Amino acid sequence: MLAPETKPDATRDLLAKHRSLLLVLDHLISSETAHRFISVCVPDGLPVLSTSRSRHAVFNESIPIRELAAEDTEALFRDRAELSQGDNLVAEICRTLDYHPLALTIAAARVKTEELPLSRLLPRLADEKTRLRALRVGENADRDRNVWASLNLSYRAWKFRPAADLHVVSRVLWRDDGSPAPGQSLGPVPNRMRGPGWTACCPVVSRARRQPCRSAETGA
Amino acid sequence: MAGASSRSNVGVLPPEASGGQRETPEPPPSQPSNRVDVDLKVGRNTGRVKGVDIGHIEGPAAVTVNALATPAKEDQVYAPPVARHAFFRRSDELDRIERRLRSGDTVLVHGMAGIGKTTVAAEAVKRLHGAIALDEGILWLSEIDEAPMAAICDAIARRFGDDANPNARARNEARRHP
Repeated sequence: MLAPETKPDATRDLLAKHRSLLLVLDHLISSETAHRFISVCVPDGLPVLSTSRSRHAVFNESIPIRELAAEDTEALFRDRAELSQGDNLVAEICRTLDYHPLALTIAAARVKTEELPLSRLLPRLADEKTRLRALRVGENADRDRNVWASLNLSYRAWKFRPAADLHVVSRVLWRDDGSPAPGQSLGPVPNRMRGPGWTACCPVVSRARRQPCRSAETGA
Repeated sequence: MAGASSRSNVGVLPPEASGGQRETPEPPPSQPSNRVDVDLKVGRNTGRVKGVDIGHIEGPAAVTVNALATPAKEDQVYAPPVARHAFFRRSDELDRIERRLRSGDTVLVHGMAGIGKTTVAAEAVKRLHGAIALDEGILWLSEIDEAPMAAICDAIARRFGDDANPNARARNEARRHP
């Protein structure tokens, strides 16, 4: 029997006997895991293909997967939904879902299997309250086919650091003067976020407090 | 990982040996499962979730180790996913991946959530499977961060260790004593 600490070395020796093998590491998260696994368990010369949301230095080659062009996402949606050419709502759906391949694949699956007309799908996707529900398929939590589960994967991996994270969130939601950033519907920095606890975390909120924007002047 | 237990219940190494963790009773069905379940599944599943097509590489050598199985998935048998659709617009990336893997390199495909990393990987695997002789097949490990390293090693040993696979053992014997 092997002790746990000798297993990675034993695994490398075992894999070294199997040369015509391809190892795939799907959904790798931390650089530490990547480094530990690749440098200890994987023998030299064994091909490894890995996917991750972040870059990790331990790999020989890093290949970024970029966003698809708008017309490619429309073709993707038509293909998955098995639609014929010429429905002008397809472009609108792609724009609503920010040309996101996973979201579009799931929306297309619902069109195909439930025979949901695009004219009924579009308002559900456009409404923030129903969007995520409209992008779930099946009962399971399979992240590969579920936008909610995909977001949850990020959420689970998130180590909350109040100061830094609230700073990032505030940069996304508001401009330097405290007015809403383009595309954000939350309105200006709320008055209840203008207390000392918040301003310590968020320079944006802090600046908004020093230079009160319109709603602060009228509201407080 | 807090609250998780390892269930490496088959294979050459006893459960006690995997990270010192022991098997815990089944959680009630109403509670969300936070259990890490590492087991090796060979074969194929039904591959159909309400019309979303996912093909699977078939054959005895194609294997998925699922490190985060939910109770509903426990009885299912897995094989690596394959993009089944003809539509594909990532040929530059695929060519690069294929070239580097053929020369035995380690390749990382990275990008934002839902952009299609796993789909690209599955397509690359499909191409390589057809193009070069992967006699020993494909070992597809998913979410290894969620499982103890010892449990992952156990799962690999169950698949590739001489005890686990009579066919592989016979092949290796034949190579050693031609």
